[in-house]
Amino acid sequence: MTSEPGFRIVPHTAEVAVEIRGSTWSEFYLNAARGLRAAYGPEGTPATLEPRRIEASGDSAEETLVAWLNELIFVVAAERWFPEEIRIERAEETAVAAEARGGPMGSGEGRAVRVVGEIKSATFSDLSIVRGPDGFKATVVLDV
Amino acid sequence: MNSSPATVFTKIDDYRFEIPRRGDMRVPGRIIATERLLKKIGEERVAQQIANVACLPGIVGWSLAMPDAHWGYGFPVGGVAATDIDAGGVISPGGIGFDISCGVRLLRTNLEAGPLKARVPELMDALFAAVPSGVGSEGRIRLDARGMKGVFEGGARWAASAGFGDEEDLRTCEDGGRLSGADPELPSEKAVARGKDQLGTLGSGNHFLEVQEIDEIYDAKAAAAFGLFKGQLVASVHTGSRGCGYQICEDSLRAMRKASQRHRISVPDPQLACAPFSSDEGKEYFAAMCSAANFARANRQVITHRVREAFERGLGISPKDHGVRVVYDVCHNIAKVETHEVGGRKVKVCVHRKGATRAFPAGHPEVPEPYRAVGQPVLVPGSMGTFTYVLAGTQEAMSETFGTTCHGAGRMMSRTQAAKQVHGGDLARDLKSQGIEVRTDSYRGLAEEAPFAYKDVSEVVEACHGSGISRKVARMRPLGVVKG
Repeated sequence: MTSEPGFRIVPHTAEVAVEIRGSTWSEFYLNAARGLRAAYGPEGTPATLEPRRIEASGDSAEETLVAWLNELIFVVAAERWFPEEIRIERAEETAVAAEARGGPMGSGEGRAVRVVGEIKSATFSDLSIVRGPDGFKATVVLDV
Repeated sequence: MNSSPATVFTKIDDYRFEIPRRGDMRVPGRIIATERLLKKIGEERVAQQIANVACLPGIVGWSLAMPDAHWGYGFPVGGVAATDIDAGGVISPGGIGFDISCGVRLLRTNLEAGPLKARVPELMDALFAAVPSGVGSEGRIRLDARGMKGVFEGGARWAASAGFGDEEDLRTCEDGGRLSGADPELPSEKAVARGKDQLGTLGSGNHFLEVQEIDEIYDAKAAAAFGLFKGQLVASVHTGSRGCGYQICEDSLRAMRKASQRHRISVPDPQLACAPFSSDEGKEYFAAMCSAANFARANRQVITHRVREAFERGLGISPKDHGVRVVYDVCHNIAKVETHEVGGRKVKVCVHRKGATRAFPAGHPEVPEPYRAVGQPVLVPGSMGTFTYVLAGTQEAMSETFGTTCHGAGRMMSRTQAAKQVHGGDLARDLKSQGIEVRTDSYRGLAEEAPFAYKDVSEVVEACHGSGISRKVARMRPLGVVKG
């Protein structure tokens, strides 16, 4: 089980579930992106890192979290571009904006990153962001 | 919020277990299984998800689960629910899943497996080259937005008219290979972007292309109708709507969450967000879902063409000699409008099948004409190294499960846990020693799909046969697998 401060992959029979924590919204969304990265299990790193802006918003924190993860999943799935580093520029309950630095995926020239698993989408399955004295906590199920 | 906790099944008979109606449940829950299977299913989580589904507005009969059920998201995998369309019954993307119209296609050949066994490695190399597999796999077809609209509208029919097959292939596909309710304008630019290079690809996870030998015939009449005989070489394809289907579901979920609020529908799990089928939001989701379903059907049709090419170019066997034809193509993640008898009257319902297969009986007008005397073929793959079954639909399924049966073995171990227990390279060698050639670009992915991560498919099939919701026709033994 992959576990780092801020997130851990938790068992799920068919899918992958990630428990995310953060003392601030900024930390919470950053840890969500780190948990997603761990779920992908990337091998290698991009030869050169290029910046890209990624934003998400929603009507609630839960919608924003799912939209944020799905924006990251989209660039991996549709553009074969892997976000290696994330710097959160602005984060609040219903919006997040970040600069991602990453590069092209695959085995061709300049394409060093491979991922172990395909992630279809982040889901709302039993998703609830719990607010406590230490910040925010949620478990999100990724359809794989 | 889990407002209707249900953690215990009540035994009705050897194959039927119920969750009595309680809390916000509108109908009771029911699972078709054996006591032994129930222990492997992970009773509590699946029971909770069955109970959650029972809260959907307009649900009729039971909230059902098949013998291969396991913990999913929204619905359990193996979950079935029918909602009364004329009584405000809802449609929920959580009852279909992200891989819309994921399904199985069985191809028969004129060939006997015995004399070809020595050439299986060669055949698997040709199939591995012809059908791209693995994470983000891209095919040889590149479509623009206009081309994608053609696929969303035409399904397998589009593929056949583009030269990837013929009319005869479509004759024995569910819905003739095309769902008529699609609106090709609805899928978003993102959905087009995710799918435009993926026609003719398997993808990853539990998707596969398997070459098999029929090693047992249980129902000679049905097997003959399906064109199957003992010792025959056949191929099974398991894949779906790839990235565009995932994106269509994702796009719809946001709209459905708003629709739930607008129609004042409260659901126990946010993944069950839904709208009345007859509402604007419900109709829009259904039309988008049909577009994704047509992509999935076109995908399996293009793969059929690639399989033929592999026989011809890889093994040098002529079309006349290999005789690759479609036995059937049936999906297991879908919502369909059907008429069923509920409480003694005919009701137009939206049947959600998530990890469950339609199983219509002999005589039903939607069963392709060549099979109408014996019932609809049901294709039930196992896991690598285990059997795949062909079943036939029954009248019992119509009266008890809205014409539905199982879709596979059903996972019982997480991917992480499976990958910890075996290395993919060791697993490939072990399968080879059993006479099964594996081709994959990811040993990690292979390990995640190890046979021990699944329930025993034979046990699942026996539960379907024993309960009467489908009957055994034939069994196939794997000879080679291309693993996504």
